[in-house]
Amino acid sequence: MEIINCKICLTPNTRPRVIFEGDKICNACKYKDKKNDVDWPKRKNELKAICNKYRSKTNEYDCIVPWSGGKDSSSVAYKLKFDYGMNPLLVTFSPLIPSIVGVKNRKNFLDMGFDNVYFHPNEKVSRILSKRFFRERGNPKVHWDAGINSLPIQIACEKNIKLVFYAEHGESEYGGRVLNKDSDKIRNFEEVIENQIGDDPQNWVSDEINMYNLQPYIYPKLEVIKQKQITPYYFSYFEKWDIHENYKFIKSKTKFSENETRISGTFQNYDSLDDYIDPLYYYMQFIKFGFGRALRDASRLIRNNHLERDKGLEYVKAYDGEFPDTEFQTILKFLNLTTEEFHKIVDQHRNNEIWEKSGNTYKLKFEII
Amino acid sequence: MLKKRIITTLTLQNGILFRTRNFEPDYRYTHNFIDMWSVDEIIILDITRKLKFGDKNKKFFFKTLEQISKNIVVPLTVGGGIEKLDDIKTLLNNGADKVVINSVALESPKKINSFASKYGKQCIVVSIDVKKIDNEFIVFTDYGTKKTNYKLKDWIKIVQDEGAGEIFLQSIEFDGSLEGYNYEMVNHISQVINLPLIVSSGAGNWEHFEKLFEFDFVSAASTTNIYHFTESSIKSLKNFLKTKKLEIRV
Amino acid sequence: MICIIDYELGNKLSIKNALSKAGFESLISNSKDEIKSADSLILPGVGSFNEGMDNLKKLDLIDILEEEVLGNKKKILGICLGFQLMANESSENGNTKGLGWINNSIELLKVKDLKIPHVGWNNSKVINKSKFIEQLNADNLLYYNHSYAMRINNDEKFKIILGCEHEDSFISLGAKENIIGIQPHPEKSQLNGIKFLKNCFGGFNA
Repeated sequence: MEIINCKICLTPNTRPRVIFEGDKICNACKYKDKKNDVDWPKRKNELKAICNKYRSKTNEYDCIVPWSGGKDSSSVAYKLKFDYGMNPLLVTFSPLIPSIVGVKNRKNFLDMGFDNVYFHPNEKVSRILSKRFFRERGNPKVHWDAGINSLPIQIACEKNIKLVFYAEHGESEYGGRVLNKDSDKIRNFEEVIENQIGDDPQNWVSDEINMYNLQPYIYPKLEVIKQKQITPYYFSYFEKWDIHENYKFIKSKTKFSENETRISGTFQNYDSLDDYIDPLYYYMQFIKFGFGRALRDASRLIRNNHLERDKGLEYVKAYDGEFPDTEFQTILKFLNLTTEEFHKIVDQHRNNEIWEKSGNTYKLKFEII
Repeated sequence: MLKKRIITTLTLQNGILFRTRNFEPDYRYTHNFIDMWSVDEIIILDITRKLKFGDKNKKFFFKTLEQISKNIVVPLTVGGGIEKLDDIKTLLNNGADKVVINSVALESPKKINSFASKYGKQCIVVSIDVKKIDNEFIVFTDYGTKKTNYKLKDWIKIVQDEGAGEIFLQSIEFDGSLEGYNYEMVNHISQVINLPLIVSSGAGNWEHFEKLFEFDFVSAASTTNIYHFTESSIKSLKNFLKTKKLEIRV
Repeated sequence: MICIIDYELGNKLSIKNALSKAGFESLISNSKDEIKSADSLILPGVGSFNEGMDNLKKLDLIDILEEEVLGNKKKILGICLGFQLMANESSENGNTKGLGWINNSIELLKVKDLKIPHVGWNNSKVINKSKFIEQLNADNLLYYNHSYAMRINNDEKFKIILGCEHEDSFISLGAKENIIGIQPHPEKSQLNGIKFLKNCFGGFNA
């Protein structure tokens, strides 16, 4: 297969579910153009109407924000409370390996007057699942994805809170397969299961893991969600989504700390800070698809005109696919692997479509241009 | 007692394992974790568009086929683009125990008979791709894109008459969906099917498999979900089915 | 050295791989010299009966096989169609004569509740104990894929070891001196299959 990358944002066609239609422009960039045509004031009014309808008259919780403490989910939470006058309950599924800066940012944000349900799943179970999925899928965070998908909805069901506001719809914003035309507005459970988790968490029962261990990851029954009229929206449908604007916004309104140093694998220090396992997640993306965090971050900024393409390309050449040295020992310990076992697993996820072996090293067969 | 079979079906594009949705490949995956022991059979389909057996690019498929068949000790069924007897011979010489045919049968149903006569009925699996149009189950061809004039029940009758060994039934809308098999489609053919039947498309959680086997004429459940291909998943599935008192090989 | 007879039918490579897992070296050949020099033989088979007999005749293998098997009592394992060819005749494609080493016929399967072809993993009942089935798991689970089988035994020298456990039983495994016939596919039956191959070629007769 010929490997090409987007003329605008650099994204290669190895990215799962990205679509190139003959020209070298990816569907995320095309969607971005469509975003300019959107009647944003109309969408904002839509949100106002939803909020007016569901705002609690007795100041009880009226919406849930799945929240990590990062710039994106904090922007959503802030705006809902202070701009739209809602009473959000922030729901956090604990990062696999919580980072210090993440903890700090969460505390500082909560101090502005928010309540937070912080769910800490059994760490032993989490580590077993993480190791299994790192091995089988080259992704140590599969169960975390299932958790952040389920937990806010579980709590919405328990507390009868009808609104849930996720941040952005990844498939349309960043390139992917959108299953139906409303999926950029309302979170489609099937789409999440198919594209992100890929499998039903109930299937993860094994000798080491039983149904009780899997409770945090299992999505509530669709009939119950329907009956309680719970709707999970994407905030990105109502307000033009721009992660760099979110960063500036949250910096201006709150005590937000960036990472002390450049995050490994990329050029920035303010996006996706809260989990020490993230560098591994992005490193494996590089192994599987030939592009890493630097490209991912650059493409998002280029697309929204916050970064020149040439500069983005420089960053990619300098940092993409960088090995997560700083976090390596922490990650090894969490996954209970030796260095050899780790590298063996990594190599099993290199497909020979994009990697060639020369001696003991691997080289990418294509170049981002 | 003849056991119900669990089959993993791998779809390869240019030799790379891909997951598909509505028959469109959308996610590439490594084939290094495919369970060869707990699963009952493996089917490998070459879904590379417009690739003939004589084409030099077919070599990518054969390379992956070789890597997989070296370690396999369960039956291997291979297909994708078979047009003539020689193609079948090539596959059988490269590790296949059975072959799957699809388009060639639709173009010329008599070929089913001619293939079965030479290689034995038990070697020939006919795969049927179905989509529901205006409340009818219609057979499609060309990787699920072109409608044929056959209604599902009629085509099954022809396939059975021409001497196929097994039928592999896929539902285009349900492919890659994780929400369960197309039970309506399976129910629809209950009166006409008399060959061993493998049903695919839509396997999500283990209960879906249990529900599929409630149709007792279903011989095997196939999953194309790459995450079901690992040893842990297959073992987990079979243990679940065993608790439901199904005749399964564990 | 085990010689897997190449008469252009059958999944010879699978058999070779399985033999190797069982610890045996093998070669795939139809050369008279290699058949003669082999310690044991395997007659594989996936295909139709008359295609099988035609190919054996076309490749001029019948004489050499009879010499080695009936004359020199060389051990031979017939798998699936290979086993069936050793019978007198088969009703597949009209009545076709077989090699006639086992004085029985091959007929279309007729088992209540069993579809044709009989494909999948099935148990078998022990009819007569034998070292061939030692250490196979309790219900002798093996992989079958056939429409025809040897249903009745008229050959007093042919001992039935396993009968498939359906009402109208058919013979899954039997042996007559140096001739062993197995209807299911040991090369596709995982551990049970490998154990069987080990037992079979480990150095003893029925």
